[in-house]
This record gives sequence, C-alpha cells and structure tokens, in this order.
Amino acid sequence: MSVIRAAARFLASRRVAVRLLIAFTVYAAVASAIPQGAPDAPDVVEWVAEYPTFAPLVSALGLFSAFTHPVFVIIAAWLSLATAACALERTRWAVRQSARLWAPASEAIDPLKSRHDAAVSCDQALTEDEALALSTEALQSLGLRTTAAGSLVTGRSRVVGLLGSPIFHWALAALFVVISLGQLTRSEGLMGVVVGYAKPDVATSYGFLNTGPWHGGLSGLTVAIPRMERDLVVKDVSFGPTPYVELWDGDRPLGGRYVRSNAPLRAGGLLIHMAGYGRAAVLEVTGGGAQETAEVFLDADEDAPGSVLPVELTLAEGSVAQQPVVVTTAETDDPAVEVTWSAGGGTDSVVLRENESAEIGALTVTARRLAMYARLSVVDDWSVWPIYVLFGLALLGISLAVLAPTRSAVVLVERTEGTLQVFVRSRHMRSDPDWPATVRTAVAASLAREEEPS
Amino acid sequence: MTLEIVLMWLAVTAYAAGAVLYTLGFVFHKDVLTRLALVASLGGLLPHLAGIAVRWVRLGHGPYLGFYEVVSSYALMTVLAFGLLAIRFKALRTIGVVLMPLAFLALGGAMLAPKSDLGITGTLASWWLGIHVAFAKLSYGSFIAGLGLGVVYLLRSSTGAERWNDRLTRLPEQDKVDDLTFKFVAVGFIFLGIMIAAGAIWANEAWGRYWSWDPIETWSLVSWLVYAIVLHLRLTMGWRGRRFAWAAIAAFPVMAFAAVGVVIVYNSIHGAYLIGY
Repeated sequence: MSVIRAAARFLASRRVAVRLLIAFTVYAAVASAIPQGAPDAPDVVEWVAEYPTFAPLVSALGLFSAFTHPVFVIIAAWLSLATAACALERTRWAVRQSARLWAPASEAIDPLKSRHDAAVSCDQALTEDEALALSTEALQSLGLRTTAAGSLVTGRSRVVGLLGSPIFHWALAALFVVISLGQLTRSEGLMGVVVGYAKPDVATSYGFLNTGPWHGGLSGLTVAIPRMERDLVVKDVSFGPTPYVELWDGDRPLGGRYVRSNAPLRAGGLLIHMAGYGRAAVLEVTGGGAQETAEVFLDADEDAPGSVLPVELTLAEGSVAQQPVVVTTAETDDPAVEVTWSAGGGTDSVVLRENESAEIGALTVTARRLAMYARLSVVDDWSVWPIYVLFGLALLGISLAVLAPTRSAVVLVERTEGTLQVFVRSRHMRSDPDWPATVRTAVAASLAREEEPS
Repeated sequence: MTLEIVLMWLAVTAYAAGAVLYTLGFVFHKDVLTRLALVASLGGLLPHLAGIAVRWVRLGHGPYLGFYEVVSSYALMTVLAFGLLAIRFKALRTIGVVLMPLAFLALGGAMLAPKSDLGITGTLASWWLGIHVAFAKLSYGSFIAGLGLGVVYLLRSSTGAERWNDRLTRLPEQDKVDDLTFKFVAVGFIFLGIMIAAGAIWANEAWGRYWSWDPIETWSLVSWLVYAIVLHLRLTMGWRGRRFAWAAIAAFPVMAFAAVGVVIVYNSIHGAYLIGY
C-alpha cells in the first residue's frame, strides 16, 4: 500500500511533471530536425546522404521514426500518468474547496483580527447588522457568493472557477489515451479508382495500406467515382481535377460529393480525401480460355513534364501465359495507351484507343477504358472528433483556471469599546495584487454610502 | 513604387523613429523624447494598416502568405500589443523601449524579402485558416507583451537598478508588472492552444491527418509546451518575480522560431505559403 502511495506521490510530483514536460519538449525539438519516415523515404535517403557521419547513429537509435520510438512512447505514457495523477489531486482539492463554499468561516474570527488586509473605516452611526448587510452587498457586487455567520460574512467565487484546473488536467490525460487508442485502431490507405468504376473498401483495393494493430477490419463499403470535373471552381478558387465520390453499403447509398481539399466525404469514422489523380487504362487480357482485367495508373513524370511514368505490367498470371509489357499514354487529348512488349529479341509496340485490341503473342489485349483516375486517401479513425472535444475541454479548463480563478474575501464587523470596526481579508488563487485593494475599496465604498444623504 | 510599398516604408520609418526616440528618451531620461516616440510608434500603425489593407484588397486574402506578409503582420501585432498596453496602462509606455526595436527590425526585415503575390489555393480555401492565423497573431501579440513586461521587470529589479529606477518611476509596482506578465503569458497560451486546435482541424479537412509531426506542427507544440512549463513553474512551483520574468523572456525565442524560423531552417509543408517555396 505504501508503495502505491509513494508511486502516486511521485507521479503527482510537480517537479517530476516539469521535468517530463521538458523531456517531451526537448525530444520533440530534436526529432523535428530529423526527417521522419521509412528508410527508403525520399527525405530520409536525402538526409542520410547529406549527413553520412550522423546517419548511422540516428538510424541505430531509431530516430527516423522518433514519434513511435519506445523512448518517446515511454515519455508520453509517463507524462499522461503524471497528468492523470495531477488531475486527481486537483479534483480532490476542488472538492475540498467547494465543500467550504457554503461553510461560514467562523473559525477565521480570531485570526482575522490579527491578520487582516485592511481595517476599513466606516460610518460610526451604522449598526453592526447594517454594516454586515452592506459588506455582504459589497462582496456580492464583486461576483462573490456570500454566507453570513454572526459578525462574519464570507464571500467566495462560484464553483466554476474551481473546476478549471481539474478539467484541464483530466482532458489532457484523456487526450493521451484517446490519441493512443486512435493510433492503435486507425487505418489509412491510398486507393486508386478509375472514373466510372468502383472498388470495395478491402485490403486488396489499396496500393498502400497502414492499419493499427487493433484495427477491427476494413468497412467493406463500396467507393465509386461516377464522374470527375476537369477543373472544379468554387467561389473563384480552382481545385483542378476533382472526382465526385460516392459511398455505398451494398445497394444503399451512404453519401456522395465532389471530394477536394477541405471538402472530404465522411461516413461514420471513414474520411475520404482526394490525394492525387492521373490517367488510367483498364486493360482486358484474354487468352487460353481465360480473361483478366488489369488497371494501370499512369502518373505524371515530374522529371519530364508532359509525359507519364511507364508502368511495367505482368500480364495474366495463372491460366494465361505471362507476358511483361510496358504501358504509357500516347496522347492526352485523344486518350490512348501505348503498349510495348518484347518480341523476337527486340521490342514491339501498339497504340490503342478505347475498345481497340492488339495481339501480343498468344494474348489479346483490349483497352476497355481510358479515363482519369483519382487516388483517394481513405482514413478510418473514430478518434478524431473525441480528440477535438477533449482538446476543446482542455482549453476551456485552462481558460477557467486563468480567467476565472478562485477568489474569496472575509469581512468581520465588530464593535469594540463603542467603536465599529470592520476587518477585511481577501485571497486570490493567483495572488492577483489588485484583489485585496478591489475588495477593500468595494467594502469601504459600500460602508461610506450611507453617509452620502447626510 | 506602388502605394502599398510607399505606405509600408512610411511605417518602417515611423517605427525606426519610435525605436530610436524610445532608446534616447530612456537613456537620457527625457520625457519629451518618450512622448514623441509614442506618437511616432502609434503613428506608424496607420500607414502599416493601410499598406496591409491595400494588399488585402488587391490579392483578396489576409497577410498570411509569404515571408513578407507573415513577418509584416507579426510586426503589426507587436505594435498593436504595445499600443494596447500603452493606452490601457499609461504607466507602461516605457515598454516601447523593448518592443519598438523588435517591431522595426521585423518590418524592416519583411521589406527586404521578396514580395511575391501568392494566391489562395484549394488547400488554403478554408475558414479554419482565418481562425488559425488570427489566433497565431493573437498569441504572438500576447507573448511579445509578456516579453516586454518581463524585460521591464528585470531592468527595474536588477543589480544597480537605481540607474534604471529613475527612468522607470512611472511604471506600476513590480508585483503588478509581474501579474500582468503572467496574464499575458497565460492568455497567449490559450490563444496558442486554439491556434494549434484550428490547425489540426484544418489539416484533417485538407489532408485527412490532424497531426503529422511536420516540423512546424512539432514546433508549435514545442512552443505550447514551453509556455506550459512557464505557467507550471509559476502556478505550482511558485516562480514569481525575477525568476518568472526570466522564464517568460526565455520562452519567447522558441515561439518566434516556431512562427518564422522553422520554415526557413526546415523543409516544412508550411513553407509553401509562409516563405513561398
């Protein structure tokens, strides 16, 4: 039991929290200087070539994947536990404070006489009850809720001010958990869909797919692109080629829209973005009594503007004899593909337009469809909205803690040897230097008010 | 030279005059120079605002695309933050000796950068952009006000402070300056948090990822965490006075680097519209 208490104390330690924040910050700052990605990612390859001295060390430390590295995960997990421990402590404190909200601070009478911020002068013609009532009014005018007991009036700010710090810390602790769970259950992939075609949300439809270890499986919904605008213009902003994407659950439509930057298609946790586009050819290959269809995505060649990257395709695995061909587009305005293959020690080629065929050895290749395709980013992540809500709660909490801090004031009215004395003591959560003067001024103004008519 | 450029150079000149007059007024303890400095500094706001407005109308977007626009708008926020302090707390006008040289250097630097006309692209066509940018500027304005107050606090409390004290007699009490520093840092922290949240929402709408550890994303988080540390030190470990002033000052360069420096040093996706590559 003592071990658990010691661990909880250690986790809730303010010094430890600051050190963890520093560790997290320094780690993130250092990692930002190193490109993040797989060893063959272009940025990583370039960095390794530029810094050959540091590269082996950085690679050995796993810093090219710094934000999934065990060191980072441990720091983040520790920080989240420390935040939760701090949240618990802050909550206990808030509960204790809120319990005191309605309790008169009668025990404060004696200390108040000796340790007060101010002894406020007042109209000596006032009775004790009148002075107490006026002091109560003064504290209420400062937004404090008051309770009176005997010669003492206590004012405390509303309970909402107490909630700021606990809300902030609990929201942050929950944020760590939700982000982690989101990463473990998230799937993200790129799927090429030819205009006029559809694909199911299954693993084989993706060119790239990354799923978290706890991902529950792809949706199986159908993603279709019935049409594509060459240049979608919205409010004078050109979005370029933009696909109209539809999502179907069997024969039930779930939604459809032009998918562009800042306008994804949503269905539950599924989010579909446009990640790119290009020309595509759907080739039908027949031979030996079998028939297969191949989709070829022809992306622009950035090194040779106006041309596309050639795609090497192995035709017809299985029943049809294998035959490697290279497919490129011959023209863009008049859609066509050029198919090149090895023949008799050299190469042969043919340009096909839509529905034209060519004999390649024993195979017949037909350009069944020549059209644009859209590369869609399909993300399945339930955690996005909860993350927004929790971060919003955290900001609300810190705003409450900072902008509406707990304030209190106690006023003691006492007649000693015929002299009416009013003592004021105030407390501000953030020790705002203006608060004691604000309370003193308000009480003094209220007590002096009675003098005005005379 | 276009109207916009003429207006901007007028603002640079006014800020330069403000910075020089503040420094002279502070060093030689001449009130008349300090008053002139305030007039020059706030007077520079007019051509600066007009220059930004002319460009805004011409290009159809606010000052957030390209180094020139971004740094110019940060300079504007510096003078606005100073103006707010100077008008709300007359006693704090001396803070211009810290803030006006920064504003002059920022706007002068911006004027030397290429002034390419960058248009709104599909990715930028989002109202989250407005929220993201507005809160970035507000947080910067709050932090730079905190920086100025922190410097003033330290100047007055440093060894040999007598030398400065007679020049800083009109400032509020030190505990008031300390409290104001805290308030600006705390409000800046909230604004920066909203900026990060708006950026994350926008990134998710534009690219399908709310966070991708892009250098500028990482550094915005780093600067938020640095200010979280500063607030933690004050609220839970009782750092007040000189120690808190030092913390507020030390945190500012991190924020400034995140706002302007990262896209120059690192290859960031934000570079495309912050510095125009």
